[in-house]
Amino acid sequence: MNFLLCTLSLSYVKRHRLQTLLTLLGVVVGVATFSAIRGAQGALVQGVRDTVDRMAGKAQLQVSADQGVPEQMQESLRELPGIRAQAPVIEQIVLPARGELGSLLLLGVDLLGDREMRDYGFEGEDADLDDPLLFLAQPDSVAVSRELAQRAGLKVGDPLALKLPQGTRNVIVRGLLTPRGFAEAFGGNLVVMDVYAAQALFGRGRRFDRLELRLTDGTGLASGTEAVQAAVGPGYRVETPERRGGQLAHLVDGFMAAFSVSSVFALGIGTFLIFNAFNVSVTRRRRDIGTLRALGATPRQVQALFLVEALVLGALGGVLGLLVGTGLAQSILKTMGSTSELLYGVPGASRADLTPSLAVQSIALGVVASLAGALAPSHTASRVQPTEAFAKGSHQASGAVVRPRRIVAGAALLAASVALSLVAPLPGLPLVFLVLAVASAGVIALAGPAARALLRRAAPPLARLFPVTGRLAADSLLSSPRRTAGTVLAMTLSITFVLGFGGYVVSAKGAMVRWMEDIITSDLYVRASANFVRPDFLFPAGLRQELLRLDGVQAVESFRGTSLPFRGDTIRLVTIEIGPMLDRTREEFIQGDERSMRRGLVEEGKCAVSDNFHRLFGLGVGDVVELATPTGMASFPIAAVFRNFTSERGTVYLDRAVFLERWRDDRVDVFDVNLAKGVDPGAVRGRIRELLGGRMPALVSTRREYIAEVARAIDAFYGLVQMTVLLALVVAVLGIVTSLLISVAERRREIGILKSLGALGAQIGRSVALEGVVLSLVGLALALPLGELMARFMETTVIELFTGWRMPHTWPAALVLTLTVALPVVSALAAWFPARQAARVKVTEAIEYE
Amino acid sequence: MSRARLPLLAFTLALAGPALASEDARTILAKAEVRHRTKTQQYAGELTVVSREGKVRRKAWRNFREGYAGDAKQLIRFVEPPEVRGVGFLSVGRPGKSPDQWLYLPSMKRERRIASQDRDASFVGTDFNYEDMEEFDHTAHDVALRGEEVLDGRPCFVIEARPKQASLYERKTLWVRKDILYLVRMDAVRRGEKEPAKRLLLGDVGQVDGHFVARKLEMASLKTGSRTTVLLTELAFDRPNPPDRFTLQSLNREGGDD
Repeated sequence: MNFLLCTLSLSYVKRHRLQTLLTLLGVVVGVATFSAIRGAQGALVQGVRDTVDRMAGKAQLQVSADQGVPEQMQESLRELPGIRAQAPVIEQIVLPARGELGSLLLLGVDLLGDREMRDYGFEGEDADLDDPLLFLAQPDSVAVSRELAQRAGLKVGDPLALKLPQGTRNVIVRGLLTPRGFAEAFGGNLVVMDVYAAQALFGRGRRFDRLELRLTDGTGLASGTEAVQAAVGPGYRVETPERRGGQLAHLVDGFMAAFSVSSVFALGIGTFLIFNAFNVSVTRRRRDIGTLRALGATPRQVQALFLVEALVLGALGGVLGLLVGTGLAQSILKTMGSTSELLYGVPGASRADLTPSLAVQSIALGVVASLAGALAPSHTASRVQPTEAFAKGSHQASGAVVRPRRIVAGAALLAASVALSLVAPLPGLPLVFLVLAVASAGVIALAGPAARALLRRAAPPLARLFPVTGRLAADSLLSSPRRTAGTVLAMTLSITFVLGFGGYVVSAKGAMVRWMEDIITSDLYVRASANFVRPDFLFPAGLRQELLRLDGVQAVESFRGTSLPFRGDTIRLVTIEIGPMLDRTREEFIQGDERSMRRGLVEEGKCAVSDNFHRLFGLGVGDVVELATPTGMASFPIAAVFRNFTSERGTVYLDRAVFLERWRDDRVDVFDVNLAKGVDPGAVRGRIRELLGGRMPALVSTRREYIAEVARAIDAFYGLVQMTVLLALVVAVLGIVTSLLISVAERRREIGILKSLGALGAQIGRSVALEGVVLSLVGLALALPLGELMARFMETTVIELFTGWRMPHTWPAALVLTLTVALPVVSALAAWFPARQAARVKVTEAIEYE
Repeated sequence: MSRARLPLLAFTLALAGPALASEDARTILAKAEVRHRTKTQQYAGELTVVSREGKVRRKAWRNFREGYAGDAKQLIRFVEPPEVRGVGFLSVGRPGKSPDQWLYLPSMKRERRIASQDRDASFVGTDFNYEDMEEFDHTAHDVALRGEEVLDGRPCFVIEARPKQASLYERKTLWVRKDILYLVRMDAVRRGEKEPAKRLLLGDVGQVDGHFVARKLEMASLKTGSRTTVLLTELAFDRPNPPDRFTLQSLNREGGDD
């Protein structure tokens, strides 16, 4: 076998370097996509866990609530038996003005007593705090990790500019944290300040984000948790840091799961490239194989030879893919990290490291994909008879056989995938993979016959449009059914993926934008924070009256959004003055109507729920939502169900008066300002800025601006999906290049004969380019209905499984148009090199080929 | 013997019931208590913290005290440097329990409670911790006379005090001058340790308003090598305090304490 590998395989590789390289590239791109996404996912999840663990220090329990923990709670826990120490914490992700430093985790702690929880190294032999009294007395004091100080070139006394709710502000470095324990959290991008200064800076009022507790020796975690929960009431979460870290990691893991589909898809397409490449390799080496067989090699030995080649290629591609993926993971981590920070307020990791398990997985995947791709071609190779192999041109002359059973099976598989998606017999990701696998099998079966049928219909008009090159291209594609089918299959799957995911994004964004147009109807929106989900500053309620006193302002509503635990999940609670809100918005009701919502929420203390809450939890009008509030458990009957895209975990609406009574927290996220008729919003915006200038952060947006800002946030969320869609396209284009190279190589004899008969090099070259264009258009034609099916599958079954939403379908016209124009152009460009090769074929060499 | 009046640490040695095993030490401390008891005390303090590397930080404060031992109240107001002017510290003793303590920060316009867990934390970056700032109540300690020693040419009783309640310290050793029954040195050993972690020296002892008082206090952290010195000036005793001096309202006034 070694001899065969060295002589037969290596010499083939040497003769066809570019083609081998492209095949290898197929594995590399597939494995790189997989390892990059998995690497970033692993780093992000582990980073979240590490950061939570490190920051928790010696704390055994944490008391928290989305709306914060009131200061008074410290008093109620002070004398509780079993509590050794308690420490308040405020946690906020901030951006430095110097963007290259990355996001910073700002931790507000009580420096007077936090040493019970965390080891700062402020005192003792390696004292790091310049002057503790000065640090406390000046609210702009911060301590930064030594690593951050080194990277930013900071020393004690230097200012550090941070982008804060009030604008860019300088804080002064008055301490350095020794890199041990918690100072290593968030990759060392840590800033510590006094918790009371942080309260003021981030509008927390007299609240903390959480209270950390340390129990006395002999107090068990279970009994401690029970005692603390009883003391603080059901409205607050009492949990261990490990549990909190686990929950946050789970949240991020879920967010990332969708991207695993893309990586598997990329690898799948890579497998088809390998299949194609090995197919041609078998064709090209028919004479070699024939010689081997004539010399006594068994069919099994021949098959083993090709499989060993595949193994080597897969392993090499796996290693290279892993290296590329590790580099790529860093940029994915950056995108994913900032999205998870934005959405969940979860600090992630700053570095994606290559883990041994990921390395093994990636290389194994490369090998498996390569072997899977080479299996059928190697089997074909093993069946080559010596007499056939030596007959010049016989293989090229063999045509495709139409197999009706295959067509029926393919159609049945496609139908089965649609049925599976409608019935949904499995939950979550397994269902998605099952449906995609069954559908892919159907496409594999149907792609060849469908492509052939399309090409046959396209051949006459092609010949009319391009008399020489068109005929040559059509003949070439029709005379190599396997190669054509393989390329079309890879193209079809790639474009289906692009249309499916891209179409879903178009529908989702369209639905959300239409919804925003219906509900964002106030003239001005006054926000304190650019973060929609986790605001870093909240307004005091009294500001509403001040806004109402401004000239031109007719009405002001106080919007507040907060997260709540509900049945093991985390839902969103939205409160606003419901009456005025309903006066100006247009809601789409699934159950109940505007009247029942108005009466129920304003007069009867009921709630309204979003359509996805209704589907996720199976609760509708007449049912009761039990919510844990700081004043105890409260029951809210559902008055209406309406379409709402506030949260992917479901949203409950309450009237503000009910919220104030039960939650006793009057802070406001956004003031929705409605102006008197004819008043210029620009002028009122100026007055609001003047009113708030220097006192509080003020982001004042007009309706249009606000919609655009929310739309940008949605875009950011879908940014990563778009990135994977792009990767799929890259793989597809690689497929075209490989296929055309194969085409040129396969047809050397034919090209030689054509040239000897008078065909010009340029004509041959153009025909190859046209082949590329036709291949892409056939792929697009087949992918259009499949992409539509996939988009609908995503918009209904998949999105409903994960979020409870159903997205009304929007046909992605712009995307289809872009693909229709761009794909032929890109394919023609991709065909440049193979076309050049074809044009340069020498007649004498060519007719000796095969 | 006169009772050592430590304006900063307020080592108030309250009267104690006699205990057979340590009758001598208890008697000495009780006598000191009777001899040096005052109703109130106030002074201006100059604080100097010198780190092991020789870095020096200076601050100044005004100090007011009323009451004794378990029910003593104390208000400290920083006056220098300008960056910390107005910062206040209030301690209100609770018999049998740790005192309530608050720190007021003018920049925040609010006071903050010092949790009992924080007694080990450094008092505003000095070598004193918050427990050191609490009134010393000898009734909360088991005391025993360990002998006599000559310190700076003056004979002293050496008394060992072991806290009965939760404390950072395993034991404290007190040197009390025999002639005036005044505390001139204290070594404190932390829990679980054998060697003293801190040493307090009281120097420049003289009479003010008929009371003995040390005009210089020096607390040394023996492990880190840093030390904090407080020089006491404008000392006065038994002057009446306004009725609300030791309240949160007064603490939050940012000054005007005179």
